[in-house]
Amino acid sequence: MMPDDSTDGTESSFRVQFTRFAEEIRQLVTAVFGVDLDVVVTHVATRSRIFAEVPLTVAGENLARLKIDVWCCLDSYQQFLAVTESTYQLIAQLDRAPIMRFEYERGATSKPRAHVQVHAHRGALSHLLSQARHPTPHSMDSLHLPVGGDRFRPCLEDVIEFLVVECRFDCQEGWRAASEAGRERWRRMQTRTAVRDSPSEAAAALRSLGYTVAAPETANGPQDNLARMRRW
Amino acid sequence: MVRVVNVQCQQLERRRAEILARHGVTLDEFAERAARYALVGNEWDAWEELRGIAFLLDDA
Repeated sequence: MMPDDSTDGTESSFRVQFTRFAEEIRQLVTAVFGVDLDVVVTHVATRSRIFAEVPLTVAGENLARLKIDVWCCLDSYQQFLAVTESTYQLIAQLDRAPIMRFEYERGATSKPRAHVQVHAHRGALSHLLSQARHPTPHSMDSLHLPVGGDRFRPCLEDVIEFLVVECRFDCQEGWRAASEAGRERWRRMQTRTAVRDSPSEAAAALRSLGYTVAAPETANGPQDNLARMRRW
Repeated sequence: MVRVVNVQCQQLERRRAEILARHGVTLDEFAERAARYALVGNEWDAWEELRGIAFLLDDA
């Protein structure tokens, strides 16, 4: 996609990108769960919120929902769509509180940016947290289980496969092809981004595979971004 | 179907006021309950919508 310098053009390009992203989510969910999903994108200038709720069934009975909530903006170059936050939640029909949340918060500093929260109770854990003077020892969901940071966090396809394979919700025949295709797209994209975080490691890995890789002959060539690699 | 809804800031502010009125709390009180992991039932959906509105309004 070509960059566009005008404000209107930037907003228009942003709209194209978030609409395509929302459509990919819709197609994935339709292929896996066979529902005609209504994906709503609320949009203000260069911010958008993609939202959908997927009914989850067992033997045809609606027992839960997958809540998809993704916040998007433009990246620092005002060119490409960036995810500010994403939340994929499993919520039972019996109780409107979440059971599990797979979250990414790009601006998080006091918790891992990519994390899973489990809404459950375990006496032994509450006891441990109480001993450690944790402020909310009885809320297991106050713990943010780290899952790979910005680059290696789970994608929506991972969560969906978890719901199908491990939780055993109903799915469509041939669902796995859609899940794997989406995951491949995600991991290719994240690999490119991880290479930009550490070009020296990328070059070393390519050389070990027999490629000839030369660093650019410029004074300010690409450097490893230690802050990104060390971030929680 | 993907449905794109273009909203104005005033619409989002009205929606925020509606949610808070329905739950009979201020935004700060809601945030304080969320920070204490004390949300129950429908409060979860409401709180997430409030956070989404704050993001869209860029006042998170």
